[in-house]
Amino acid sequence: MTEYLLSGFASAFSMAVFPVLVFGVLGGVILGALPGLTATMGVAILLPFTFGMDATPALVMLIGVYIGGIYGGSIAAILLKTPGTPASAATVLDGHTMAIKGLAAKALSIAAVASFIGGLISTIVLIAVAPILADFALRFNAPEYFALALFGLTIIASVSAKNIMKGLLAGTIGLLVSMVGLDPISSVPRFTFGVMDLYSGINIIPVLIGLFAIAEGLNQLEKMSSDKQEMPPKFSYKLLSFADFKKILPTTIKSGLIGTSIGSVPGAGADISAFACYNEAKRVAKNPEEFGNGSMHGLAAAESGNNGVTGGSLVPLLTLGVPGDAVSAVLLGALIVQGLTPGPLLFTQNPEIVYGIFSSMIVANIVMLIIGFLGIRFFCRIIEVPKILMIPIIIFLSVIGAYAINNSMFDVGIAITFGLLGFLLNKLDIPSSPILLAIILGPMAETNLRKSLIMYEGSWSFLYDRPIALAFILFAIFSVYSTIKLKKKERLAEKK
Amino acid sequence: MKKLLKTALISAGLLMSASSFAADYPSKNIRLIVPFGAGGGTDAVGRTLANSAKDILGTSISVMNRTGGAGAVGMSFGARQRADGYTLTVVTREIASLPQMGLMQNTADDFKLIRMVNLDPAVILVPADSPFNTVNDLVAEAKKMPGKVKFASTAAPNFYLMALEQSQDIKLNAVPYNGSSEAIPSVLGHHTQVTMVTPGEAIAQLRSGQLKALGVMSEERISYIPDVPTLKEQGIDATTGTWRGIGAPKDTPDEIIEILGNAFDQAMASAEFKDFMAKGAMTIHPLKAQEFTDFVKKDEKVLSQFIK
Amino acid sequence: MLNRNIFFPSLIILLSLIFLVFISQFPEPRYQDAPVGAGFFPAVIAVLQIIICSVLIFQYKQKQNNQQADKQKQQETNEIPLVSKHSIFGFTLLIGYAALITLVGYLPASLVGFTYYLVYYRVKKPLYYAIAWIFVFTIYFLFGEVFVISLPEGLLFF
Repeated sequence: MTEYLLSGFASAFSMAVFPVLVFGVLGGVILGALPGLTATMGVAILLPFTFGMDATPALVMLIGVYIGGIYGGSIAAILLKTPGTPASAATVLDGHTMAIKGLAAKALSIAAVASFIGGLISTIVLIAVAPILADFALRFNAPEYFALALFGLTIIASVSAKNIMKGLLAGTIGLLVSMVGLDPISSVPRFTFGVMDLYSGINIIPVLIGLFAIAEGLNQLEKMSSDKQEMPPKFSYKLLSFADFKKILPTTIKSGLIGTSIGSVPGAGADISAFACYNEAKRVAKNPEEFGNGSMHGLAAAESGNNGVTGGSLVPLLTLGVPGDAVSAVLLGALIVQGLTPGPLLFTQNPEIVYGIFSSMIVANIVMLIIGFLGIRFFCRIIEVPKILMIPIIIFLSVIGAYAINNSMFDVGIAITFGLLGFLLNKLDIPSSPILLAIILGPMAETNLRKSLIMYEGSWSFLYDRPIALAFILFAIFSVYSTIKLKKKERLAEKK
Repeated sequence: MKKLLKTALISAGLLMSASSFAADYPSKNIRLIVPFGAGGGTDAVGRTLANSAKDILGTSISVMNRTGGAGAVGMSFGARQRADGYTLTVVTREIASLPQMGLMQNTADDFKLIRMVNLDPAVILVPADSPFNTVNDLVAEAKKMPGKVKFASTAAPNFYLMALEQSQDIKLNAVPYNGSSEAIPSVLGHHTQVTMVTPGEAIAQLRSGQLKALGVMSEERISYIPDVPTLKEQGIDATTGTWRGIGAPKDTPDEIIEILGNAFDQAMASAEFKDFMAKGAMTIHPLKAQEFTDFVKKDEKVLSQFIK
Repeated sequence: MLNRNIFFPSLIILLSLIFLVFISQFPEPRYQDAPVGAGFFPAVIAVLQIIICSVLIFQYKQKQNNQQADKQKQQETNEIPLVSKHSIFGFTLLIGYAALITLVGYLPASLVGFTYYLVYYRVKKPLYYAIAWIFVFTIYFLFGEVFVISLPEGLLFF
């Protein structure tokens, strides 16, 4: 194994591979930072170009795009409050608040370090215990997914800032939105009003663009002229210090591990992971009230959590031959085109490919860290772009991004609608992230509950006789309990 | 109002186009609409075919993914484009089923079908350690316990399963999953007992021996899995599968269809495309325009038995 | 006067009721159904939403009673207007831009849209106009040539 890894490193740094690796990571970072363009899209577009390449550089390039893409989303989320992908929506909560306080450089450096550590841990776990994780992933089925989604929905309470009720309201709005389309179990059209574009439901990316990017654009436009006296924050180029690093390290490592586990389960990805890690970090924090007000821990947890998925999502691909998410579905295609058989055979028949992937993932994470740090000064200049230019750029990019995700003006309409909704909700102090979380988790909870009932022929026994499902349901109950306790504490503190 | 304007503009375009083109076709880039997401099987076939055909046609073909409604959105969109041969659509079996289910307004008649590309049968799969060894074991079990055998369905409704159920008069408990990438792990993890997918979707698990194939639902054995007997060999007369092809809006001039048809014939015969399909365990089935149209008509009839 | 803290939850309650009517009219499934039908989840959510909104209205009323004393503060929070001239302009720009794209495609629509925006805000620096146009062309190049993602084409130009 070690020799394969070493020769993997040698090939990762070879002239044939290293340039495409850097190209992939850099391309991924750019794609991820632009609204509407996701890592999945980047990987799919590059796929035909890999047909003519050798197996290792082809896969390495695609994996580079994947790793870079998940990190890239955080840059726009921190600086402009416009997360490029759903995976970095949780990054906005603390990352952007830090940037507002003038700590953009620090936030960016934390994001880079946390993403790096998350990605690295994930890769190491992948190398060390992939078969065990695969076994864990196989135990997941409808009941477990339902329980996981239920647990995920309890996170709404912890990301809903001051007023839990308002957060819950946002959650139910999101859940209703996620019900639009053909019911996945019985193909009954729900709230589609005969519009065919609605049959497959409302796409999450235009919603994300609307709620965050467009709403923020409108918000800025209003601020720009209304209160001129608002001073831009004192800007500091200070990066994170070693003391900070030591502080966030435990959170980061834990989030990386959580991310890897979530990623290894097919169908649960970086978006869920980022929010789950954020929630967990907040739960154990000494001063949870910092979360949402620029907590380093919150930012680190979200970033490590979403990049932690990168290694995990390769587990089902490499050990079972089934894709864990949309990106690994493309990687599966790439492997097959190269004449390789994904799954357990790959380890015995083509170990050089497997370990080539592993070592280049480590190198890709290092490249990402370097790009992240070299880029900080450059990225920070974005804040200094005059608002009068930045606002239309955000708005135009949002429209183009919403179009590009599915070549559809209908999605542009969705983005604009949710942009207005997000803008109005801001005014009413109703948070936007619960809507997003609910759209991701709502269908997961619903279809899997109904699927489980079909599997168990109408019996609800799956809720207690499947250990993993039961564990997640207990987590969910515990999560609600600890939120209530926390709120009580806060209320007491307020009264004093 | 917008719609009106659109129709007016399109018909103006048509008038202009019908007379002049064909001679210098193609003179600009062609768009190929893929009604499924980037990264899926249909997308991969579309992109590879586009890649092989571009040199033959001497113009680049850009793939445009337009997803939604199990293919309905993309295919309807494709049917409504200018009939100038610059917008083509990958059509799939859904064009025969969805309109009959009332889930799509356009039908295969709104297309001039150019070529069929591939035809893949369904394979019946169980975990390697399953007690079922032949299709008849499965059928016997299903007869003994109607509605109890758990079937991981890749779509709802599942026409593969219906073909088997109807021919044997059995009923399985179909648990609907979202495509083969969810159905296969469900069977691997023994949450469900059996599934049906195309050979390409399960080739990795078949080669590694994690899954066992009980039978393939085609007329003849499939070269990628030569050891798997057909259902007919096991005394069960049921065939089913899925197919893909290329279509253009129905008013496209025949000369252009001709040019495109020849180009796709060459593309499908190219080493690159054949290699890609072979590695993905997909069977190229190049039907000409007329045969393809007849085939789709026949399939629509078959499907209408299931859709009542 | 319409109070947004009461008006908005009431609106949601009304919408939820309308949704409940829709849910009751869902067609019967043709093929199979789960023990929990297509209408179950949406109905539960709509009911939850009604409860949450009622609580919100109640909370607000209570707070208002408590704060009767310093009414001043209450007034202040209500004074932030829901929409302003600028957000309306932003919104019109968005819709106008989207409509223009459908008509003439990405490149002309973006050039016109961006320039119009700068003119509207009476920007005089030529540099800003240059940056705007460079941005538009950069995106055009980046999407078309580097990422090979097709940008919207208009109906007017072939």
